[in-house]
Amino acid sequence: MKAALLSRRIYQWIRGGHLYLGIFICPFILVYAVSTLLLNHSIRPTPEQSDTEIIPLDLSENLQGEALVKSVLGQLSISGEVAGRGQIRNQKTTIRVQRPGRVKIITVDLEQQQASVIERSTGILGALNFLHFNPGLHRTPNWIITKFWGWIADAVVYLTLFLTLSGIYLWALIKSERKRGWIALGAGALTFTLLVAALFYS
Amino acid sequence: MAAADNSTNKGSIDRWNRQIHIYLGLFLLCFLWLFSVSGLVMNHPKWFGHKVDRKPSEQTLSIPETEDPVARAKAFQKQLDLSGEIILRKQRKQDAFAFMVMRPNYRHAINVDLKTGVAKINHVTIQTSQIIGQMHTFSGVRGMWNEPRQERDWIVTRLWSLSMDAVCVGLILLVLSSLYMAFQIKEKRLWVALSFGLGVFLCAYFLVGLTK
Repeated sequence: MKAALLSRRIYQWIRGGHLYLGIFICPFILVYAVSTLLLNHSIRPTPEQSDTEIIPLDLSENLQGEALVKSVLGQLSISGEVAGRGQIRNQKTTIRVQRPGRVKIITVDLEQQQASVIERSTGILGALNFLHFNPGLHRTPNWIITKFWGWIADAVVYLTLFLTLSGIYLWALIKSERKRGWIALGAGALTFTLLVAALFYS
Repeated sequence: MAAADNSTNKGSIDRWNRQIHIYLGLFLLCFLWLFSVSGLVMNHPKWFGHKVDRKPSEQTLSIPETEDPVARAKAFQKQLDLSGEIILRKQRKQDAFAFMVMRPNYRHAINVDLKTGVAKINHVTIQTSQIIGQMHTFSGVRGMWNEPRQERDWIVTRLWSLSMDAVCVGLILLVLSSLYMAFQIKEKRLWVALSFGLGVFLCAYFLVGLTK
């Protein structure tokens, strides 16, 4: 009796988890699915570039590296995923600050004590691509928002794994769907195996 | 009578929708595992290591008459007995021709001296944890390669890329079918709306709320 009750409770928990967590990650799955279609067909947004804006800066002497980047971004009140370590060449340094759907390119002239800022907007398509690539293989996020997105990206993976496993559990309980389910599972596994074998051994 | 017809139609749609959800999910299972785990591997390269093994070699090749870069790369590829997707590189020297032949588990960087016909080949073996990352991105048209002409020239790349599209379309159908099913359960509709709303809010925040 107790075992049956426990098994019923486990079933209800798994079913509830499959339902609510699955519904929660639906928009994230759509973000990844749509951005994959865009990337797979090299559909890249054409950026709209703003006019160059010249902004005066007050930079102390010998400022360089990350301290320089921090000071410039602080004075310009710009935040985002920063690329550029403040290396100075010909008294200039370039900083790229990216956000989903937008990138600001800041060229700092230390001699003139000014920054020229160009903004490129890539819209929602650019935002989709940006989110798909983040955090990604080649970078460690340095903006709290991209770090947060990195956690979400991990959570989407864990939730997808949970959804597939709970889905198998729920399917296995439906006797009437078992035979056709096995056929679908087998066909998918066979297609996958053949494709992987072709990628590796053909 | 009309009400009974409507109810039968609705029952039929519900059944179809449920079956699509179950069978499509089961069919895509291996693909979903691959693309989700490989996503995790790519987001955490430190967890899995990042080592490649390079072996250089040299071989003399005959220079094909064609000037077309893809045809030229294919002719060299045939002589070298390599199969995989051709990635054309930016040609920096007039007397040299550089390209790569790629598969998820191998990469061959080839640099041919067009005067002497000597090809310098760098054979790169990719470690297991990275192979699934390569499978995640193996579309043949990656922007990072800056190919002068982006096209999928290996039949297997075309099939793999087609399967990526199919998985995406399948995922979109799974999402739609799950939303349809979830909102059919009247007693859970509020909680379903809340969890969906939270997901939409978070996504919208990242997609459009951060542009300023």
